[in-house]
Amino acid sequence: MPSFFKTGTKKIQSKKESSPSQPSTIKPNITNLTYNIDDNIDLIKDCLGSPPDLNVRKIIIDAATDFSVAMIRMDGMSDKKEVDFSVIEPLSKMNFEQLREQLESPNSAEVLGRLIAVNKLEKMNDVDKVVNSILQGNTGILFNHTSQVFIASTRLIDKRGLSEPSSQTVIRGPKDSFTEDLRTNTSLVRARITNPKLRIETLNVGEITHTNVELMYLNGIADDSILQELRNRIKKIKIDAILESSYIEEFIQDSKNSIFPTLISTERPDVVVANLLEGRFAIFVYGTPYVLIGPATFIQFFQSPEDYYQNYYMGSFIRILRFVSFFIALYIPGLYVAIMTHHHALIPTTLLITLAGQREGVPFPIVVEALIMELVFEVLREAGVRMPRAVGQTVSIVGALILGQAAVQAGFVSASTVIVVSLTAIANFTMPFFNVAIAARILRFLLLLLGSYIGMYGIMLGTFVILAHLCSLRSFGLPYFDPITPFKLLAQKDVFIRLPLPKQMTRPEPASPEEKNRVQGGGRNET
Amino acid sequence: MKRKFVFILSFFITACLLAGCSNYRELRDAAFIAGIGIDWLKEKQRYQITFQAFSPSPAGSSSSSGSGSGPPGSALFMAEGRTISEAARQASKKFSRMPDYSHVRIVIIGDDLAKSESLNFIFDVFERDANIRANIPVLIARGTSGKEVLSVIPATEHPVESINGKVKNSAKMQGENQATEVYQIINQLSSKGSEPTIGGISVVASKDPSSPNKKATKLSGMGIIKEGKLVGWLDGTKSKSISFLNNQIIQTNESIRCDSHQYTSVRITDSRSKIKVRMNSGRPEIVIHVNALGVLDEMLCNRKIMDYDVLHEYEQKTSNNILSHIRDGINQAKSQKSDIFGFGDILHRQHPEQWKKNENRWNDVFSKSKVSIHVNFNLHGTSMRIEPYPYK
Repeated sequence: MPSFFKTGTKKIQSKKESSPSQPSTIKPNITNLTYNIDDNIDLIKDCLGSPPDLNVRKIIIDAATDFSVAMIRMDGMSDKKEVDFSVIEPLSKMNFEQLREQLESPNSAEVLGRLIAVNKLEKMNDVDKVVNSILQGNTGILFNHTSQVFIASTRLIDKRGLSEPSSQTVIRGPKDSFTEDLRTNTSLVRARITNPKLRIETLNVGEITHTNVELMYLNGIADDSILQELRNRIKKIKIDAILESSYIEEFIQDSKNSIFPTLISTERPDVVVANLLEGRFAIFVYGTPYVLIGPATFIQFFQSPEDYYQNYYMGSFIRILRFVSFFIALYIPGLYVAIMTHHHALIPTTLLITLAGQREGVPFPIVVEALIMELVFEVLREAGVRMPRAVGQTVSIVGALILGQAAVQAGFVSASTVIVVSLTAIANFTMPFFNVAIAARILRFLLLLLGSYIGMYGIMLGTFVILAHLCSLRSFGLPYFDPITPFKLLAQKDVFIRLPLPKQMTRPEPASPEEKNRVQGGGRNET
Repeated sequence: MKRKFVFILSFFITACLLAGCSNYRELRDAAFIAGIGIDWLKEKQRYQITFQAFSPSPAGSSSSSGSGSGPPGSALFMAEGRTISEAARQASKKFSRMPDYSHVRIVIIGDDLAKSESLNFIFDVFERDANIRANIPVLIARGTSGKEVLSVIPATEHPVESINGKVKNSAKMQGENQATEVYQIINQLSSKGSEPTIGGISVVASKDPSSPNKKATKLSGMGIIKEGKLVGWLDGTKSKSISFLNNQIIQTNESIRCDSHQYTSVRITDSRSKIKVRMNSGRPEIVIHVNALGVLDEMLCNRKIMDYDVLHEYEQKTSNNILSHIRDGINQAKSQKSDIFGFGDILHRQHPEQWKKNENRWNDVFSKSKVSIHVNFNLHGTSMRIEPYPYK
């Protein structure tokens, strides 16, 4: 059990003890389970603050000996039918004599297990653990005359069904995506890798939320030192709540202040599978469909799963197109402003005259114009995400017609600026992973300002700074620019172009060195 | 962390100091100069500079595309000064925008300036100033001034584009007029073994009845420069000699006599020349070999082209034509004592020790040179037809 778990429970205990508002007159200082069933019920209720969704069902089995049983569960978190048929029904019909005798014996859970038809039955007598189990949706079974509590796993939470991925779509390829439920998510991966090497480890993060975080990797293929480092980093997380995998990401990434992501987040099971097979790890977090993958390199953010699902000529072409788009999204506004204000000599004369004609009578300097249009687009985009579905059309009409067409006609902005801004915007959407597009979105402004200040020289300076930063980044010790710098010739098969799959028989860098070949005796197809 | 930050900051500050010159200029504050005319005012002893600027038509209310549809307008303004730079600065009194010289397409030198004043120094500003290029074509306003040439406004194009187009077209189609660029002129002016030639442009009366303009510009000849001054013109087919010897022929055509009064046209598609120069008892001996290829592109007389003898005759006649162009060109250059073909440079490369002895009086030595020209022309096709169509 991780250390923060214990400190968390300590806090709860100390609060209870020192709390003056609690009128604990009847049962003072009872913090442990006793042999009295009513006391135990009250204790658990106390711990939870008697919430309305706490369901307590007490059955007196034998009034003479005061033998009774109580089932405690959280309503809405547990399977009501299963509790009714598998727990309550057998308990009410049981041969209590025999059971009563063996309640205190070490194999009581086994005895009870013969009666109760649930997946998993555990015995515990620590109140904190009991409360936690109940909070997870399990049913606590209490008997009189014993301090042991039996926990029947009856967790069932309403969950969304599988649906198509919403942010990482492909034309050809699997159409399922992760959901908020962690177990569904791991099953989607396990169904694709039916191999005992697939390992899952559970960790608990969040001092208040106790969120389940599961770590998945292929044993032997993933590098042990990276996994150990990952476990250490996750254990070091000190936070009250984990609401999304990004919470984990911010804590465990190598460079906390970088604008570039060093972990992939995906909602596609096939992406997770492909990365596991390359020796990477995946982190599943309860409550979010986005799974983290690491260690990640810069190139990976340009690799869409579809690159591998279609003809490799097309895959390579599209990938190069994506690099170009990234360049456009990052540089074009800056280059546009730099050339239009500092380097008129670089524009072909005919184009220059056309551009100059457009600029006549436009009131603002070109850098202000470009900045305004970029910001307007960012506003439109944010509004597009945030707005209710019903007004969706309004925004597109206002955005496209009024801001684009009318602003040019009214002479507020020049047509060329609108073209540049929209080209940038479209190019930004070609990234298969959203978080690397964000980096381009922000750095674009930096380059725009540098370009307007000292022209192409500024763009060059900005490029050097960005490149230096990118080359200094690491993801779990793996250089961010991995197969490019340090240059590895063999790994170039899947960088700018994708070679056919038979030629891709070795795993990339993060995989452990003993498992470099994808298949046994592999690399034979490689020439 | 702090040290790293200071390091990065110092990097940025130094980087900004190293930036050199850069100037922020909005497009709407700049006037893009398309052509420059340089004239010499004898009475005032000053240069007169004529600027032909692109004037972007303002973004109209009807079409938002600006001047994208029609040809850009032009604006002409003039200034005087003792130097070209002074004149350029003087122009600011007459023009509301900052002139931008990065798109100058043509420089036109007035006849007076070329004949009486030396051209040696006027190109200095093109190399010295960072804002103007050195690869701009130069023309001499033949019998007129740069101002006059730039004042001719054609109906469909910007005046400078029109002149530029003529130069390029003529060089490509005919090979008689080559665009000589500023840096080439500077190279040739500063070399002892060659002299520049600069194309000429003259103003003629426009014969186009649909045109609103009474004047038009026309390319005419290549000006021979000697020691910085214009001394004569190579006209007509003679000016092809420069293109042939400098391997600048892209296409040209030769008309050869095929019977008593009709001609046949041969299109020359490729031409390579090899020149050898050496000194022989104080006289330069220049041996020129020209290998040319071409096709028959028009026949005005009915000859059996399948016949080898006819073909051979045509080839021979074309060779003789080319030979005569080259010979006439060289003869004129010799009579004007100006080595416009750069034979001196060739001698310098081939026989440096011989060149050393003659370099200081090269133009005189050149005028006495013995020239032998060998032209080998091959017809390699008769275009789309073989025999001419039969007629009664």
